[in-house]
Amino acid sequence: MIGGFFIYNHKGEVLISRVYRDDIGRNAVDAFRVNVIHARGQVRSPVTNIARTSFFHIRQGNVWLAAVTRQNVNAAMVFEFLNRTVEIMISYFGKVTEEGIKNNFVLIYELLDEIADYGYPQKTDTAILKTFITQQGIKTQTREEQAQITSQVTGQIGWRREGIKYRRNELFLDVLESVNLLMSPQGQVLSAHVSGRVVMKSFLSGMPECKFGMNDKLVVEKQKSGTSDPSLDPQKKNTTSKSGIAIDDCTFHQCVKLSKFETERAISFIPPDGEFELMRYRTTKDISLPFRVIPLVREVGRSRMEVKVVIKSNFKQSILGQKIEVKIPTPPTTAGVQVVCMKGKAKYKASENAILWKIKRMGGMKESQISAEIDLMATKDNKKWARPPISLNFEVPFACSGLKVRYLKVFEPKLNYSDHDTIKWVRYISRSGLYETRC
Amino acid sequence: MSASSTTYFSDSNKKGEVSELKKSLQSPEVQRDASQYKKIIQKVISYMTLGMDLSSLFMDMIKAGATHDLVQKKLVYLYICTYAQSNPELALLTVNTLRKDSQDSSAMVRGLALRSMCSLRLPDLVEYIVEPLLAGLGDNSSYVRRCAVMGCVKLYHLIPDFVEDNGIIERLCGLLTDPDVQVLCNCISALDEILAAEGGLQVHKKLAHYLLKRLKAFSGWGQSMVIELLLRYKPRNTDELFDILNLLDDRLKHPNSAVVMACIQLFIHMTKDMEDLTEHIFKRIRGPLMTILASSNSELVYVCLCHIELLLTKIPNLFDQEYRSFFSRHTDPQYIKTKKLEILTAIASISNVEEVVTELSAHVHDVDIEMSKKSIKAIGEIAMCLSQASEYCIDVLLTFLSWEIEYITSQTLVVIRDLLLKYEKSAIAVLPQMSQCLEIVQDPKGLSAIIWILGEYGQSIPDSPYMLEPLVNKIASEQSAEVKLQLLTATMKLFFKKPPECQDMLGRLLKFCVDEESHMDVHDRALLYYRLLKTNAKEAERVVCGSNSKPVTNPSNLNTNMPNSKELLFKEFNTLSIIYGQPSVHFISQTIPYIKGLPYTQEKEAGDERVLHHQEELEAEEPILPPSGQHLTVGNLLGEDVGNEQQDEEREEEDVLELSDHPALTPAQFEQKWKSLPQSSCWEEAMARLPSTPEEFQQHFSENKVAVIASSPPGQSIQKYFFYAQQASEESFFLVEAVIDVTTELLRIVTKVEDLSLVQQFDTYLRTCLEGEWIVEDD
Repeated sequence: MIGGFFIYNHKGEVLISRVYRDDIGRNAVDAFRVNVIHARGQVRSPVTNIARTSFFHIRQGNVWLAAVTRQNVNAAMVFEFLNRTVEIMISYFGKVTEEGIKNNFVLIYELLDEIADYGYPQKTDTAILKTFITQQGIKTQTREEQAQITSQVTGQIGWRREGIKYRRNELFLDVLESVNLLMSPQGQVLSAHVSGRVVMKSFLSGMPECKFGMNDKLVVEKQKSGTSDPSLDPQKKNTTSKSGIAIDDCTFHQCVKLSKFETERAISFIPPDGEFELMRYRTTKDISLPFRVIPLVREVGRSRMEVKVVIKSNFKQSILGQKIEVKIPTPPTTAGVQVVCMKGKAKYKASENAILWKIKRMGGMKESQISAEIDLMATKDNKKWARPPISLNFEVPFACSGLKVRYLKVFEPKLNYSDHDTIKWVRYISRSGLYETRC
Repeated sequence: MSASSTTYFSDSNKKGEVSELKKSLQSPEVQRDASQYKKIIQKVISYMTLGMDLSSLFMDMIKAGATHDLVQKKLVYLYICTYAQSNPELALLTVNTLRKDSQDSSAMVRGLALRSMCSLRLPDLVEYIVEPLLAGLGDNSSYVRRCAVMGCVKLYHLIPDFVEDNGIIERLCGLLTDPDVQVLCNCISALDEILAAEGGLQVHKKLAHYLLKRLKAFSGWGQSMVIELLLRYKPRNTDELFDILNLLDDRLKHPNSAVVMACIQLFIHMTKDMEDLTEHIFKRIRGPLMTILASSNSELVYVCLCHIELLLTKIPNLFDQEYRSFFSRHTDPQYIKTKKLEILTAIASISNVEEVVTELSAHVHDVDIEMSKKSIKAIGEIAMCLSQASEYCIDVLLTFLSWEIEYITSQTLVVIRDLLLKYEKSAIAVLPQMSQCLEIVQDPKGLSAIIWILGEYGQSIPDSPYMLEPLVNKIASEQSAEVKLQLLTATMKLFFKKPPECQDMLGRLLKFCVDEESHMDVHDRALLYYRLLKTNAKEAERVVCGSNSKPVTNPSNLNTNMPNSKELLFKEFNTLSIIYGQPSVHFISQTIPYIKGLPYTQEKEAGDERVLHHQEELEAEEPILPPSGQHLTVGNLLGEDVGNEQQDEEREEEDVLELSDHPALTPAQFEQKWKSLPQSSCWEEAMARLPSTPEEFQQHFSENKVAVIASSPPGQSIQKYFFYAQQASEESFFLVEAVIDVTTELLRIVTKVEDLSLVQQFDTYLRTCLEGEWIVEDD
């Protein structure tokens, strides 16, 4: 149970203070400011215990959000609640900043009143909250409107209301992946994983039942064994087994009927209207790493350093990678940098202690190189420079995990449209998460 | 003069703001202009947030509450709930508005009114609130119902009797079948809190199955709560247990990590007696944990890491394959890096040791000195545990020395010194580097390490006496006692190994330490050595150069320290205890008599009558899942399944009643505590004699460290006394109400105790105090 919820700016001034339970007093607000915000040190733990009161805190830009309790609560729950609160605020007024909070404080108090009662989280779906808390404020409602809202707040299917109609039934699927890599200087993969999301934007009438299929290894293998005689069609067998991917773990939006997934690995659901995240998944095997960074650092005496970095794109020639940005860290004692690069633009940024090398577009199976000479200031400090890894940002139009959407079928038995009448769009984007190469 | 004028000014300025707000709120012009009126109210709330005292606006705000604008209403009610306690008389006026709103046509307004009404925290007003609240429980809108359910808990904490007087428990139990899941969830939370004194809501088979059936419709919050509740349920047989596990299996895929964690907890809890399953279960939960770990949310990752660390104490090789996931990223916050480092140390094994150590050495470069030191220590620990990898680790450690950075060299030497105790053979590789290290190290810890090495292995280092000599010469300026002690011992040792080179030096050192050293330990040790040498040099050699006792280490050493507290932590899985790494008694002041997350074991011990909760008669006849003989095995002695009494006993051992000589409590605090605490015990005794004066009675208490805070005036037929005592070491108080009925000569004692583990002890204490003097002894 959450006892109270506070938002502070970076100076420690209270922007929002909502107390849910009596065991949290006003002094708790100040205790956090003094002990955490003003301490200015590194945050040693996201949970701080002050005088037997636990403060769960997260930072969003220049503001602190803290949930406070005096009981031994489920820690994951409180952090999930804090994050959800942030998500809700973002969906209402965009980025959570001091200004945003000050401008919307009435709204935030309204929300806080709704999403938790006596410290117990209540309904927190943004779609539903938005039906009865609007930024303008509801003045008067007609009877029907009221009834409709009530039915949504209380409905059995919490995420979709009845009676939605579209002239054009359309849906968009985005497979968004974030590729994470940690590579040793010798090019050995230390750790790599893809966290992916399938985001769906649906504009469908009525209460459609959807079925989503992808090249999940388990499904593919099951179907393979299901075909009567694989020897009859050896070629087909080969292709399917290749395209299946191993998903380490996945989570679904609450609309997905999980029992069906467990038994048949079929993903079927009635989607919420508009945009939502259908599933999240994680893979660690057979990840195609779109870029490889090869660093070469040479320290020439105490006053000079030579850095050479090669970047290789490792995907089909016809595909274009975009927004490529290589960040090469330089020592804090850097006095000057001369850079030569084959492609794109490179610049030394003293404020970030790094050389930023930007390439707008790069085709597959290409290679480019940058070399830099770094002049160092002489220092007495004997401390060795801890070389941070070279990080890479990029965007490529395919799924690095190898995930493919095989189908998305729509059934709406009551209304007059079928799967064929629905217009469907699928898009794959992989972006870099933490894509680092140590040097 | 000027100072007083400035304070006056700022004071008036603040007052000015409040009175200006008041003026605006009262101005008819503002009141006519709805949007301006609302703006003023918003201003009030924003000042309130800043912590200004705006209680003087109470009257005007109540007026502002009579509006059709829902947002304005919400703001006003927020204000009223905050300040109701400071304006109890005026608060009565809001009740009317609130009651009217609780009959509004809009469900939103009705719900809001109920929520606010119950948050006023004024016991006097409860009588006006009960009726709309009861109506709210039966409202046809689920939104109102769920607000009403939570309202019951709020009132319960205000006036515990309210629940019994109105049959709330029955009403809430009835609502468990509500079609709306949020109402149902709130009901469970409410019942659990109201019944906390009896161990929370009891989960019998019907309820458990009912909840499981509806679980999927719940929100993430509801699911995690219900799964936590199911911890209290004991399946009747293995089949039922497996059914439950299978049913909940897909919950591990829920996007809300609170659900996943709750589910993991339940899995571990339900299978804790089935050892053959443990490994299987742990493997099953590994994937979901790794998923949380891969999330971009550092706080959740941290929570997950803390739990992984705990799980490793049960199955140390659980994450051997995933060790790469614990490699730190440059952007990880410090707390995550530290946790990952600890986990890596724990999961290092022969198969992955090289990679783990390489990873750890990458952090020796870390900007944060603490981190760097921890990494070095971690490599040392791995070398300690994995003797096959010790050589490799020591080689890596030696490379750190070549960087010639003071704190790294110093920390590395400390670690190497410890390792040499276990792996003497490695000395050959270490010794050549010492002379170079001596030039770098300044830190006392590092310095003592190097001196120790010189003393221990002096015979293998040709220059050893000449390396010690400068240190001996500088002894007068040396600050650290640790270094001096080490220097004494090392010089002694070396003396026996290379007497001609050391004799002079040792003489000087002993002379200085005996004559001029002010630190007691150093002085005494020098004197001891001096006398030893004087008495018998051979004997002295035997004493000083005796063989070192080998440190006892084995791989499990790291994890099994304090198994008892780890076991306690497992009981509080998925709570803050894991994050803090200590059981909740250390950081929670327990005002509620149960610990969330601690499952109520309802298991029956064969032949034990003290079992507290006999839930269903049927159950006793059926065979109990784990054969009762298992309790005799040593492993289970500390296990959860030993039942309530075991826990109670443990607690009693920990908490001993020890009253403070000078308890301190103000009447206001007393009153507040008296109101908030539940009654913990109540008994009646016939009095041996009546006190002639109240003072006489009070005197007796205060002699026994129980102070009086109030008493009724003498000469009445019912005499009331309020006493209090305080536990010496803590802040927990014992409150006592003693009522003497002069006509019947009966003494009634009611106690309220903050630390519930001490209820029994305090009662006995009180009784013994009274016995002999005032009440008739029990025979």
